[in-house]
This record gives sequence, structure tokens and C-alpha cells, in this order.
Amino acid sequence: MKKLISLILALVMTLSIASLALAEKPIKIGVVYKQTGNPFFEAGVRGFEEAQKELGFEFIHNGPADSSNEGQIQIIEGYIQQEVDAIAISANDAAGVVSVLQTAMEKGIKVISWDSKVEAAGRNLNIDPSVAQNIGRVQVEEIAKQIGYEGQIAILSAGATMDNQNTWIRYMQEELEKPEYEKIELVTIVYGDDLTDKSYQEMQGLINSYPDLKGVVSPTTVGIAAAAVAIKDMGLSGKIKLTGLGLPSEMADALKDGTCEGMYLWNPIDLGYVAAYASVAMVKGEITGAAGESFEAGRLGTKEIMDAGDGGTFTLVGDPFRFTPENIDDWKDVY
Amino acid sequence: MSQIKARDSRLKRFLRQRETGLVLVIIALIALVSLRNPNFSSLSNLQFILGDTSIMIVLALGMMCVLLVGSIDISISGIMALGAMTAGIVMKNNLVQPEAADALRTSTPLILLILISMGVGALCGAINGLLISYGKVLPIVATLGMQYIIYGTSHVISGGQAVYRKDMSEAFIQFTRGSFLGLNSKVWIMLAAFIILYLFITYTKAGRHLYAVGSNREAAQMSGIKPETATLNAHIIMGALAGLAGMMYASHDNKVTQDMAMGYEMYVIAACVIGGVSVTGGSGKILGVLLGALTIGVINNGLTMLRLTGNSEFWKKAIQGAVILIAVVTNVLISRGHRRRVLRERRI
Repeated sequence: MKKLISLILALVMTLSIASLALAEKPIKIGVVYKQTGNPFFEAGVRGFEEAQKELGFEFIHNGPADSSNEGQIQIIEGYIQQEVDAIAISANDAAGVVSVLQTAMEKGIKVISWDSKVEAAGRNLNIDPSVAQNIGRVQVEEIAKQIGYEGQIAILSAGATMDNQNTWIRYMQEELEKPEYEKIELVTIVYGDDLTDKSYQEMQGLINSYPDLKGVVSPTTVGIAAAAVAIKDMGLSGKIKLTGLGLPSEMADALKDGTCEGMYLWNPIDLGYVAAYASVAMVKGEITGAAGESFEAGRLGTKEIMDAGDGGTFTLVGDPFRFTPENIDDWKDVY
Repeated sequence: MSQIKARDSRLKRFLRQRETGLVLVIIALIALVSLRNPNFSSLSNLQFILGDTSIMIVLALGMMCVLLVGSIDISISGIMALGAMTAGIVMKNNLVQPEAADALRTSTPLILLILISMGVGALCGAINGLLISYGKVLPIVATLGMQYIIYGTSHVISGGQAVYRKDMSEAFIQFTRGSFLGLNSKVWIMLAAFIILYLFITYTKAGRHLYAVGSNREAAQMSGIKPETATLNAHIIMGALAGLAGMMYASHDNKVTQDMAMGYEMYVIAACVIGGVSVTGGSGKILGVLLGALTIGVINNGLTMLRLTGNSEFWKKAIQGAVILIAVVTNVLISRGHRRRVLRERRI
């Protein structure tokens, strides 16, 4: 009896291995994000899942706990060993991951950066959520309106090496040069490293260091959520204005109780969705990532690939959307 | 006449205490940062530092017990995450969410959630303790391995989803936000833990055994103390306190992530060392631990308040390490002087 069972088992195993070998190997994408436990990237992964249902690829996803560059390098090295077909990364340090990604590209792995780009030498294509200039501009317009075009403001950013935040901040500073903002003074930029605890402490430090502070712009979902908690804890809701890029699900409370009057974000699900479609198109050889090409991105239609001006190329997902106390209920359960 | 002399020597003894040296270090740090940013020494900021450091003090109390028996626990940040994640999932699943107002969210009673987290912590601590005392595994190796296992478990039970503010009951959010007599609730929790631990290590047999085992294991064994039991006890206490600290951390941040508090254990060990706890076991005072943690708290907040920006941002970590080293060295020098004086006095 035992012999019979073992014989059957052995047969089943042989057959299943044979069937695996016969089946076409599915495309495998390795997704790297800035950190684990960040709802923005949890939503991004949902975009990959949605595209997976339509395209039928495999994907694995991971990020370091501490939003570090080294952590991402380790994950990428692991993906190279697992022989993924494409890597889709939101980089903590645009330059820091270039050499390991070049190794990946030498092995035929396609590299797509999404959300936060990798330098041109280390990628085939970048998926930008929106035009960086617009993202910077809308946040300055928003905070200026909230504080009445006069007074001190500060920026609470993520990591000092993160490319997307730094680019937006550069555009914010350019925007602040305009005459209508001449009475607004940007007193400092502090970095919470996309850690809730550190962002909270930095926000508390800002409030205590600058008694005349009127407003804070936090172009990072972790930062703005932590800042809202800090402002509320210190009893300053409405007195210190807050805007930036926030997740509706995390900021619903703050928008309703007046800590934040308005904030922006694009849809991270769409971002992951387009990154997935671009990865698959590139692995299949339909696109190479050169300017002028285009690819189909499912429900979001055709996406054009353009010159990014940094030696590489990019494509756009959409425009930032303004969340207000009035419309937040429609979005807080979505992402 | 003799009375005056006695009082005089008591005052002198107070001034020569190791703890006095730490108080001076803390005051010097506050003064230095205040030179650049006067708001640093404002009452509200000092209260904030005390509240913020309370979590670290709770952990340092447990770490002191572990260090006293000559062990160490570097899995505590993992225990914080797993304890808070377990309680967080229970809270999320039992949430009654009236659509009308988020502030009215209720769930499992807060006290039960805290007990769940502390229970999970105590269990992890017990596993650590068993591995070290009966399994004879080197403490640093055992708890390093356990840290990975515990963080891994926290990832698995979370199903990849963190617990956010919208999943939390109002009672849990307010857990670290209440205040009584001008002090934050975190400070009161810390004081309660401090007093209980103080009574435990000063007046109970099991508490005294921690010192006995750590200072001379063989002698302790000869006098009928079981070193294994003492080690196990110390790790269970550490685990339970880490569970409590995890809940405080999560409530303060309005968030439980799978990797919560990673790296926090190093601050806690540093706090104990600054506070004069010997890493080889047997010596250390509970008041020293409190002051050691406060020193770290002042350094961390002080660096934020120094208003370093731009490139100097990258210097923060280096400065942090340097200040911790300076604090330790100063403290060692002071206590060496103290010991020498004690010896000299004994000769007379």
C-alpha cells in the first residue's frame, strides 16, 4: 500500500514538473518601492495587481523598512538572482542604485522607474506621476492662498537624497520667486526621512523653533500625515496651515477637523498600473523606451514616451488632484 | 556637632553620586542647544521631550533587568512591532465605525488591547529567555535570530497591510494624548512602570536575584539561586515592557507598520550604558537608567532644534553618535573619580 502511494506521488510530481516545463514561462516583474508599511506603495501594488489580472504576469514586491538606498540595493540584487524579466523601482536615491541596475540591464533585465526616478544611466524608462513643475506649483499656490499670501512657511520633506521630492522643492522655490509671493518667506527645509516618528519630531521642532510660522508644505504622504498629528497634538489646528501631498485615507480626519484645508495627490493605483503595463510591453519587445514610442496602458489608454531632458525618457500618468473637506468622503476608502 | 557633620557628608555624597554627573550632562546639553535656539528650554518643549522619552525609558527599565543578569536583548524593536501589530489587528477587526464621526470609533477595550500586546511581548521574551538560559545560546545571537523571526511574523500576520489611523479606536488614539497635572499620559505610564520596577528589584527576592546572578553566577548558584530562572524572568519582564512600549509608540504615531521601531534597541542599550548599567551584568541603578534615557532624548530633540538644514542634515547622525560617546566618557570619568574617592575615604 505504502509503495503504491509513493509510486502515485512520484508520478504526480514528475507530471507536474513536466507540465511546468512545457508551459510558457510567465513574465516576472520585481517591484521595489521606497519602504514597507507605506500606504502609498500598498496602493501602488494594487495597481500592479489590477494590471496582473488583465495581462497575466507574475510579480514580487518589496522595499526596505528604513527607506534606505542600501536596503533597495540588496532587494535588487535578490531580484537579479531570481532572474526577473523587469524591475520596477521607486528609488530612494536616484544615483545610488544606478550601478546595481546597470548590472541588471547587462543581464537583459528591463528597468523602469516609477514615482521617484532613477538617473538616466540606470533606467530604460521613467513613469512620472505628473509634470514635476505642476506638482511644485500647485502646492505653493495652495499654501499661499491658505496663509493669505504673507508670512513664514517651511517645508517638511522626506529624505534629503530623494529625487522626486527634491525636484518638486526646486520648482516650489522657483515659483516662490514670483512677485505675488514676495511677502512669503521660506524659512527652512527639514527632512523626516519618510519615518512617521522622525517627521513628527521635525514638525514639533519647526513649531517650537519658528514661533511666527504660518504654514507648512509637506510633499510626502508620510510627512503630511505625521505633521497633521503633530499640529493637532499641539492644539494648533487652523493656526498653522498645512498642505502637500497626502493620501486621502490617511488624511481624512485632518481634512475634516480643519488641520488641513486642502492637499494634492495623484492616483497611486494608476501609477502602479501604468508601470506594470510599461514593464510588460518592454519585456515583450513592443517598446524599447525610446522617445516617440507609445504603448497601450489598459483602461488609461495610450501613453506616449517623451524625452525627459536628463538623457533618458519618461511617460506621464495624470495630473495632481485637489482633495478638500468636501470631496474627501468620496476618496478616503479608495486609496 | 556630629549631626552637622553627618548632614554635610550626606550632601557631599549626593554631589559625588554618579547620577549627579548625568544630571549635569543633561543640564549642559540643554544650555548648549538653548544658546542657538532659546525655545529649546521652554516648558512646553521640555514636557514634550519627557513625554517623547517615556517610551524609551519603559524599554530601558526592561533592558536594565536583562543586562543585570549578564544577558542582552536586541529583539525588542521586533517585539514592539509584533505586539502592537497583533493588538492592532484585533482592534481593526472589532472596529465599530459609525459613519457619522470618526472620533466616535470604538473597538475592543483599550486595556484588553494593551494586555494582548504585553502578552505577546512576554511570550517572545520567554522564548528568548528559554533559548538563553536552558538552550545556552549566546544572548546576542539568540535575540538577533529572534528579531528576524519576530519581524517576519509581524509581516505574515499583517498580510502586508499596516494598521492606520482609520483602523484605530478613538480610545487608542487618545491613549498617549491625555494629560494629568500638566504631564502627558505617557509620562504617567512610565512613572508607574518605574515605581513597580523599583520596588521589584529593590525589595523582592526575585529582583535581588538579578543582581546576584549577574555579579557572580557561581556564588549565586551555591547559595541556592537558580540562574536560569533569573534570566528567564528578566527576559519575560523585558518582553512585556516592549509590548507596552509598542502600544505607546503606535498610539503616538497613529500607525502600526510591520517594521515599526526598527533600530530602536540601540538607543535603549545606549541609554542603559550612559545610565551606568554594566553590560557584563551585576551592576546598575534604576535612576541612572532613567537619566541615561533622558540624555538620549535631549540629544535627539536637541539635534532637531539646532535647525540644521541642507547638507548639515547628513551630519546629524555623526553628531548624535559623537554626543553619545562624549556623554558615556564623561560619565565614566566622573564615576571613576567617585570610586577613587570612596576608596580613599575608606582608608581613613
